[in-house]
Amino acid sequence: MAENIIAHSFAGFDESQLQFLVTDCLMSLMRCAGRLEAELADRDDGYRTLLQRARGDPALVLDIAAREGGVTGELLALLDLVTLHSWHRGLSILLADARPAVDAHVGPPGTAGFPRTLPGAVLSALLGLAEVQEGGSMEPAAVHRAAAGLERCAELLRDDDALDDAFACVLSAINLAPWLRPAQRESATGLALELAEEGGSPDNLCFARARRVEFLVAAAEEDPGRRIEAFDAFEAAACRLPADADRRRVVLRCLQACLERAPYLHLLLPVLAAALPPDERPDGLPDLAPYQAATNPLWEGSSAEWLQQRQAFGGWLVQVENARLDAARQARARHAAGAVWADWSIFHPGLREAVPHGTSVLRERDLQNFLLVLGHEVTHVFSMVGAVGVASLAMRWALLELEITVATVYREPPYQLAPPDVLRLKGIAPLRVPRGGLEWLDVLLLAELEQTLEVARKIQVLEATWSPWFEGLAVFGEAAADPTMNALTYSPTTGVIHHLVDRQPAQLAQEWGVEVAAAVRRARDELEQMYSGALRSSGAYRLRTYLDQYAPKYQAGYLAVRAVVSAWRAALGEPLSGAEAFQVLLHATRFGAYDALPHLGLPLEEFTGAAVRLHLEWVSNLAAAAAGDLRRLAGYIPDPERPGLRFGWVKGKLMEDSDEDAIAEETVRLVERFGRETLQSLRGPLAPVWRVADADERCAHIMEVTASSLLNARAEPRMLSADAVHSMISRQLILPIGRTRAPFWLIRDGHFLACLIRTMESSGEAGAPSYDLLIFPLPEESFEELAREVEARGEYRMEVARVADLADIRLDGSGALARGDGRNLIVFRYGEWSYVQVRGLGTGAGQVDESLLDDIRARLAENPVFDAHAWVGGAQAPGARRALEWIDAVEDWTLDLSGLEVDLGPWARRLRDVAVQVLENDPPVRVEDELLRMALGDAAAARLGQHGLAPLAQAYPLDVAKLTRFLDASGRMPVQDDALDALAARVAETLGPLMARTPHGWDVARAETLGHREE
Amino acid sequence: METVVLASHDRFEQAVAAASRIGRGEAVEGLAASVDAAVLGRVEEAWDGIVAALREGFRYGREKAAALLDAAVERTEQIIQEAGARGREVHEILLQRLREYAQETMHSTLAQVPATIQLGGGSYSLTTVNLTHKLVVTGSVKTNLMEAFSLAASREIEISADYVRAAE
Repeated sequence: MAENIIAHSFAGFDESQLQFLVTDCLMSLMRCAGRLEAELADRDDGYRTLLQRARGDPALVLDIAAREGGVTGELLALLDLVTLHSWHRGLSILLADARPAVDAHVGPPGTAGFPRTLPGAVLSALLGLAEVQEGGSMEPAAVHRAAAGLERCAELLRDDDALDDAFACVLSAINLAPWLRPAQRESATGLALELAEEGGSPDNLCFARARRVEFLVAAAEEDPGRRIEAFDAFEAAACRLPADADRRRVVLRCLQACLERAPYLHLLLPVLAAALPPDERPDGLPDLAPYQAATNPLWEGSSAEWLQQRQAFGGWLVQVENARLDAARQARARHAAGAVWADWSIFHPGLREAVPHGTSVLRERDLQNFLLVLGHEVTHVFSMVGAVGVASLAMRWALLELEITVATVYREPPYQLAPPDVLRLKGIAPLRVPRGGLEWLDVLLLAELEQTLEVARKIQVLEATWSPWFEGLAVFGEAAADPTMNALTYSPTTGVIHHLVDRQPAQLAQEWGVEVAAAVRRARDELEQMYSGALRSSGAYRLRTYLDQYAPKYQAGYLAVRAVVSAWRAALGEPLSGAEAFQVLLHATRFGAYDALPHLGLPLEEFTGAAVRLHLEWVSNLAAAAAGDLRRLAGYIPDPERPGLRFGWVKGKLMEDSDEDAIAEETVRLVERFGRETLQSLRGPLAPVWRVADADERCAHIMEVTASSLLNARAEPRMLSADAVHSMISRQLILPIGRTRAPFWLIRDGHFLACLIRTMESSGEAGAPSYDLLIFPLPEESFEELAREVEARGEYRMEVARVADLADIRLDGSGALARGDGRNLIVFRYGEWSYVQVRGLGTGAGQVDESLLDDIRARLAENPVFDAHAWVGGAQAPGARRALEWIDAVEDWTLDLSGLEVDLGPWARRLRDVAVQVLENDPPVRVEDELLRMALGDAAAARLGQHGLAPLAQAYPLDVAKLTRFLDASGRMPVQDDALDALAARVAETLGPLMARTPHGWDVARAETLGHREE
Repeated sequence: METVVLASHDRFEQAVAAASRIGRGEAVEGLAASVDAAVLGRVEEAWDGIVAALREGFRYGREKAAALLDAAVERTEQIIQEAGARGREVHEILLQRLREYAQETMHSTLAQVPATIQLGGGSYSLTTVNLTHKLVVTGSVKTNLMEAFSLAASREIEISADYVRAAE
């Protein structure tokens, strides 16, 4: 392991140990000497002369070098070596004095000039150390500089595969922790952990883990949301201590100090005690054998003996799990569930640390709301698995590609980094700030940055345009799509609900005395009855909240959906049920919106207008769908003669798509097209100069020139090859529902895997967490593979996830379900090892389709490319932040073209405006008002849009509940009730004509123009 | 000095509005849904009935609003019961609203008591105020509702205020 002289003595350093700390850092930096010398290997005697002069005055040397030919990497390496070798002969004094001069070439941390080469990084560290040494105190700015230099050295050494040297450098940086800011402590301890994991030295890993715990415990004191990180880090550190006794003592001291500071870790004390050799354990401890059994996943005894131990540790372990859940709950909002555009995932506050298993869902404390909310979010994801979601996804990939171009070409040196390196850094580096006037490269950067900002903003525009409709559809699904009202078929969302409870069809068939198919049908019916019950008893209340408290978010979309359904009911001349309508709506949203997307390369302003216009046209066309099309699709049951037949929509008309494979190919082509269109943003003719209103003629000319030069950039998206798109889409069709990190054991006797999973976060009347102990045999090969991973990693938790397969239904050769149907599976993962079990109504099915296994692994595995994709296109908008920083750092926007001055300030201001819009994500469009107007007509839209239900509540408070009950019930089926006449009159008086009497009963009124196709 | 402060319509509506703001849903961002939407909806439906009873009581007095009050109590209890495991949350929010209503009413009443009065050429400053209306604090929605209703329906609150002659 890395041999830092004091690297492992941990906390409690004070300034009296300054000399030790400096010496430790110098020793770590000496590990860079070989690489620094290599920089000079080919240099001639001129450098020897400089070397001599450098011994006299480093600052002077830099000045001379700058005048004579620039400060090169070789020169910096030379200075490093001289300083390192002569440190104790007083050179640190000169270096400290030289700082102002050196700063001009090696910027301090946090600035764009902070070095990205090893010689520069070493010099930066040395400068900080020199100031500490000469100042005789741990002056924070100097320590910060030294630590930042050491950390940068570690990063660069890591790139050179010198992991041990890198680890030594970062440990030295961590030793300076008491004087560092939290962010720097965080990055240094994180890097140390990564290096230790990559290096494979168990003792390094122990130290890195302990250091991380130390940081996280302190961080959690400031931010309780980080307790779960501290908890997991402590557990990982405590269950495996260094083999060497001295080092073990050091780690132990650190962990004990953490225990004293963090009471929420106390339950883990036995883990720590059990990891100690018996002769080092404190006196008076209880029998630790059960705790050892609990925290060691490898059990070599018999299964009966393990069960006996399990009796002993079971109670304690559940307490640990509850403590861990408490820690996790500090980190998240508990009032909302949601769906994420960037990766088509969902989150639910009750499922962030739980995996439904068996019949656990049925014990959920608030089952009705749980089902409805889950249905709502699953509907969102299904909505994304279609035109709009695919376009948004492709735009994000194009954005990532543009960001990588900016990051690799325009960042501080080294200029050329391969994309994986950029992604691995998972940080968008500062851009090179022009000093002393703009160069042509800066102008090109301005153009390329504008491209990234424009694309980022267009993603927001597209999603904001469609969000009201998506919400309206999801709310309609919650309140109106009663699955029991459609006996012949069910929606994709209902498919996922069907599989939430694990039941073995064969067993059910035996129990109920029916055929397996009938047992499956009956099990589905039971779930549908349950969902129906939830919808009927809670739906109206939920609807009330959506339309009252959250009206700006849900009202327009919901009423637009209702108006479309009203138009359909009128066209059909029969009362289409909410369940049937929901299926058609969801289908049309997924497969009928391709013609509602503008060219993705359009300039922002045009794109915004076109996105809204096309969306409204799309809703209008959908409302005018022909009765024949609606009849054909509502309640459609796949034709056994044409199993691959799929439907699509064009301008509101239902079309037969050729077959499943052709659709897959077409999807790939579409994604490629979307990526290509996005990359065309602000290139050539798609970069109108009018977008910068105050640009003068010269500025406009430069904008045109750069837009033309961007046409030379690659037109085809690199990351959207056919294979990449196929695997990307396939991966996205696996929806993680719940995840947890669960303790597990490998029992060699019988090759059993036992795993304690939290099945619900709040179950029963008291709302306490519930747990299941799963025990099942693994195939021998799989068992041994997992055992090897356990030996290597030593952690006693594995990731367990419940996922749903959102792919289209596909049967295997025997007619059994191979893909889709929302089928649930439970996935066990540990390092590279994974194991998948079919659950839901397929529980007990042995084989899992290979393509499904691949997609599940791809979805759950950590993947830096997908991480970067979600991060770059996510809410943090790192590219926009970086662009803003760069724009604000440039002092002068004058471009000097051989004496001809061009003011690019107006253009830069436009970029700045867009960057701020992206960062603030303020609503780029207000589609709601127009949607309401189109759906309901001017009269109702005006009042509802402005005041919501308030005028009704003010005049007739008891009528708000009556109206929401009417909306709730009529969503499922028009309501036959003469008593509604009076309500309709009062609603019309206060809100506008929102209710209409139809031949089938009362329904939501719609604008007169809606539902009529304009040919 | 003992006096009667009459409640104005505006002050009554202000108290209702202040109470109505309690227990509203937190903001949700992105494609999200409140997991508490049913609880919030239940609260609002019960509150509709309560506000209707309070308004009626304020406008027309206790007797004419008695039927609405009975209906509000009955509906509230039904809603809490239907909410099952989350009935306690509905109950708690309604309690908080009723308390807020009562407090707001009291505060606005006190705000109407002049800090100084001019009498016989002298100036008198307020030293103490005693409310003769008793506020009952219990965990029962029904009791609190009756209390709030009583405040609304009486439209007046008796207070006693002590003044001392201000130093010349």
